[in-house]
Amino acid sequence: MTAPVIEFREVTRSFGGVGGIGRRTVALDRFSLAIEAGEVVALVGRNGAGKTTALRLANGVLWPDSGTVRVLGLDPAANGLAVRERVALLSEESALYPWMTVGEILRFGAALAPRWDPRRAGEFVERLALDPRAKIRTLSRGTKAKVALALAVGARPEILLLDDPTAGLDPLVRREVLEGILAAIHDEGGAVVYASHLIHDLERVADRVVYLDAGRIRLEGSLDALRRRVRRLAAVFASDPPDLPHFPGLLDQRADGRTLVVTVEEREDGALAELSRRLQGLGATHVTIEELGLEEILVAALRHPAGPEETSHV
Amino acid sequence: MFSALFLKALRQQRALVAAGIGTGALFALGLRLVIGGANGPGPIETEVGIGSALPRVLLLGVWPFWALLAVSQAFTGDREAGTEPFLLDRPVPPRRLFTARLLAAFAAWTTVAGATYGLAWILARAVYEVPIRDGPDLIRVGLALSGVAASGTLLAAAVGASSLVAVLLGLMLGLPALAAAALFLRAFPVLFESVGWISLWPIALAVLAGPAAAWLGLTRGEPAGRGRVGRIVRVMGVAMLAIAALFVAITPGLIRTAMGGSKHWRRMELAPGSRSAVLSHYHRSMWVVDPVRGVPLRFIPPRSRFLGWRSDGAMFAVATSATRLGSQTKHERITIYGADGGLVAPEITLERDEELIPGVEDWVLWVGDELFFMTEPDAEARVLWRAQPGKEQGRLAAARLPARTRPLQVTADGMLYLFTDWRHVGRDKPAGWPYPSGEVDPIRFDPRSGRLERLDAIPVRQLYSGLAPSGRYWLVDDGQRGAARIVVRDLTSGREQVHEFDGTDVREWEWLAEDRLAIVVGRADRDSSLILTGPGGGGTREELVPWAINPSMTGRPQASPDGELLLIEDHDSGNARIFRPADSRWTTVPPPPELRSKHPLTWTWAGAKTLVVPGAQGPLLIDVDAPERVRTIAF
Repeated sequence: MTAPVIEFREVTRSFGGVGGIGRRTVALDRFSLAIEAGEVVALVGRNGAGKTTALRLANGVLWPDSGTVRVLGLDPAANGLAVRERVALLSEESALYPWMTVGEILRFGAALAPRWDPRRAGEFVERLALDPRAKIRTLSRGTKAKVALALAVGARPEILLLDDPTAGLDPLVRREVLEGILAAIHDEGGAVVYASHLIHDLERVADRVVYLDAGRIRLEGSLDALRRRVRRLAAVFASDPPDLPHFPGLLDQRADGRTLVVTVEEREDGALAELSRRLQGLGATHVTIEELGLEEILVAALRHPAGPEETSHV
Repeated sequence: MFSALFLKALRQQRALVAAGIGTGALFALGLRLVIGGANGPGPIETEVGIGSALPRVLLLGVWPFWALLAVSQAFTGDREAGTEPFLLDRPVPPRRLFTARLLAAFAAWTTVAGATYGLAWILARAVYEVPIRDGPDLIRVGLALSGVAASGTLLAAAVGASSLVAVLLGLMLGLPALAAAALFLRAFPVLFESVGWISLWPIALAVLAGPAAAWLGLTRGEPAGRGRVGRIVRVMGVAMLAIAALFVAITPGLIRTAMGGSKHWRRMELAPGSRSAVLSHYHRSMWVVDPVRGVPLRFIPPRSRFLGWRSDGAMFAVATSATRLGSQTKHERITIYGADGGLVAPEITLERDEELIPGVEDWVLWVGDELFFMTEPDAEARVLWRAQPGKEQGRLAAARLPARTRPLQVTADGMLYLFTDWRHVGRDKPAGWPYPSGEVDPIRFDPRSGRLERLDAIPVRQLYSGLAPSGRYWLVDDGQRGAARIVVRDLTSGREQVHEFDGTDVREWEWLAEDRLAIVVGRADRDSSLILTGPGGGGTREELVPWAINPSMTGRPQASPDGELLLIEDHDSGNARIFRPADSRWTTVPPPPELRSKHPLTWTWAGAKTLVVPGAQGPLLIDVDAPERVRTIAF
C-alpha cells in the first residue's frame, strides 16, 4: 500500500481569540483524512464547515494548531515552498491582477512556478479559447475561472486543490472547466481535492465524498458505498407518527403527515431490516425502503447536526 | 522570479509615480502663478518662492508623503485589491517578495524624488537663475523624513493595516520618531556636543528596527499571517531593549573616540610632585597623561572642568556636570581622581539645598587632605566650602564671603589666600579690573582655626599682585606706563623691597624656587632684560635677554614645576628660551620641524625638564636637555 499523498492527522485549527481575547472559532477539530494518489475527493459541508481551511492547510498557507499534515510526504508548514511547487490551489475568487492581460498573467504565473509547462498551459489556453491580449478586468467571471485553471494546470501540479472554482458559473462554463480539471487529472494521475456545494458536479468527478460539519468529518465514503448504504425509509402510521428512538447511523427523521421519513446509514448488515422491524413495532402499517442520490444523502445529513463523536466512515 | 515580482510591483506603482510628479509640477505651477502675477516675479519673489519655498514644499512635503504612499502601495496594494492569494498560493519565497516590494517602492519614490528635485533645480537654476537655498540640508532632512515615514508605514503595513490606515499609522509612527529625536537631543546634550548628529544613532536604529521587524513579521511564520503582529511587537520590543543596552554599552566609548583623540587641548595642568598631568580640552573633556613616557592614562569625558591638583600631586579634583551617557546632571559634582587616573573617592554632589547653585567655581584649593571650593548661591555672597574626599560628613560651609571673592593661592604654610572686593558687597555693580589700588583686599584664611584675616594694610592691584610660594612675600606691580615699579613686602616684618625701572615697562614677573623673583622688562631703546632677585626681592641682578626680540613678542615667564628653570616663549622665532638662574645659562629649544612655520606657538612645562607644545597629531613633548627627542602623546 502506497503512502497517502495528503494526510491530515488529528488536525485542529482555529481562528480569532488572540491571547485569550475575543471569540475563538474552531474551523477544524481533530480532523483526520488520508487521500491516495489518483483519487478525486469531494469535500462538502455547510459554509464554515472547514473545507477551505483544510485546503489551505494542505498547501501550507495556514498552519495547524495541533496535529500533523503531510502532503507528498512533506510538512506544508515547514516546507511550504516545496509543497506549493507541486500543489495548485484553484479557488472560487480567482485572485487575478485586473490590470494584466491574459498573456501577462500567464507569463507572471510561469515566472513563479518552477515546474511551469508552457506547452500544457498553451494547450489549455487553446482548449478554453482564451485571448492572451484580453485584459483580465474585461473578462467575465467564467473566463477568469478558465484563466485561473490554465494557470493552475500550467504549473504541472501533482495535486489540485479546488475550492469551489465553478461556483457562480453558468452550466456551460462549469462543464468546460470541469472537463479541463478532469483532463488535467487524467494527464498527471494526481490527486484532486474538490470542495464545493455543487453536488452534481462532485458526483461527476469524485471517487470519495467527505462531509464536514463544524470542523469534523460527519460522513465519509466512496460515492457507490454512500449510495448503497444510505437509505430512506418511509413508515406510514395510522395516526401521527411517533419519534424514533436513537438508532445507530440515523441521519435524519421527519414527519410528513402520517408518514415518518427516516434517512439512515446502514452501518452493519441487517440494520435496515432491524429498523424496519422497529418501525413496525412502533405501529407502522407500511414501510418502504428507497435509494438516494448524493445530494439527498447530504441534505439529510445537513438537517441533522452531528453529535460530538458522531462520525461515519462508509 | 525576483525580476517578475519586482517588475509587477513596479508596475503597480506607475499611477503613484505619475501622481507624485504631477503634484510637484502643480506645486511649481501654482507657486509661479502666485508669485508671478502678470509681469512675472520680481527678484525677491523669485528668490523666496522659487529658491526657497518650492524646494521646501517638494523635499519636505512631497518626498516624505510619497515615501508613505509608495511603501503603503507596495505592501498593502495586493491585500486591498484581493490579489494577495495569487502570490500566497504559489511557491513565492516571502523574502524575495518583501525585497521586490521594497525595491519597487524605493524605485518609485526615487523617481518621484528625482523628478521633483530636478523640477525645482531646473526652475531655480536654469529658468530663474537663483540658488536653491539650503539645498544640501534640505536633501538631508528630506531623506531623513522620508526614511522615517517609510519605516513607520512599512511597520503599519506589516501588521495588516489597510492602505489608508498604513499611511495614517506611518504618519503617527513617524511623528513620535521625530519627537523622540528632539527629546533625545535635549536629554543627552553632552553626547550631541561630543559626537554631533551621530548621537542620534539610537533613534536612527529604532527607525530601522521598523523595517527589520516588518521583514521578520512578513517573511517568517505562517504565510496567511497568524502570529505576525505578536512577532513584530516582540521584535520591536527586543530591538528597543537591545538599542538601549547598546547605547549604554557604547556611548562612553563613542564619546571617548570622538573627543579623546582631539588635538585641540587647551592646557596641561601639572603638579610638582606628580608624574602625571591633566590635559584639558576646549570641549571640556580631559586626559590624564604621563608626560615622561608620553602616554595617556585615562580619559575624563565632558563636561568636566579641571579644578586643581593636591599639592603633593597624588590626586586632583574635577567638576563634572554630565553622566557617562552624555546627559546633563541637575547638579554639578566634584570628582577626585588619583594621579594614575583612578577614582579615589565618592563624588561630592553639589545639592540644591546646600546653596551650591549654580555650581563650583573653576578651582579648588587643597590644604593638606582637605579641599576648599567656592560657590555663589546668590549675587550677594559666596560660600567657601571645605570637604575631605571620601568623607561625606566632612563637607562643611567654611565661610560666607562677599560676592566676587576670588581665590588666590595656598601657600607653603597651609594658609589660604583669597581676594575679596569688600567695596562691592551688597551692590549690583559689574566687576571691572584692574580695581584701583586699595579697593580689593586679600583675605588670609586659616583652615585649622577657621579664622579669616583681612590683609587691608598692604597695597593691592588685583591681577597685578601675587604671593611668593612660601606665603611670606607679597608682590605688587604698581608701575605706570614708562616707569616700572615692583614692590615686594615681607608680610612677617613689614619691610618692602622696591624695584623701579625708568623708561621701561614691566612685561611680566614670576616667582621662582625659594621665593626668588624673575622680572622681564622691556625698554624702548634696548632689548629686553631679565631681572633676577634673591629671596623676597633682594639682591637683584640683570641678565640681558640674548636674542633680538620684539618686546611685545615675548611671552610671560613660566617657572618649571620645581622652580629651577624659567621658560620664556619667543613668539618671533617660535623658539622656547630656557634660562637657568643657577648658572645664568640660556638654552634655546626650537620647535619640531613640523611646527616651524606655525607661530606663535604655546609652550608650557610638562615636567621639571620637559616642555609641551601643540602638534598636529596631539601634544608634543620635548626634553629641554635633548630637544631633538620629540614624543607625541597619541590618544
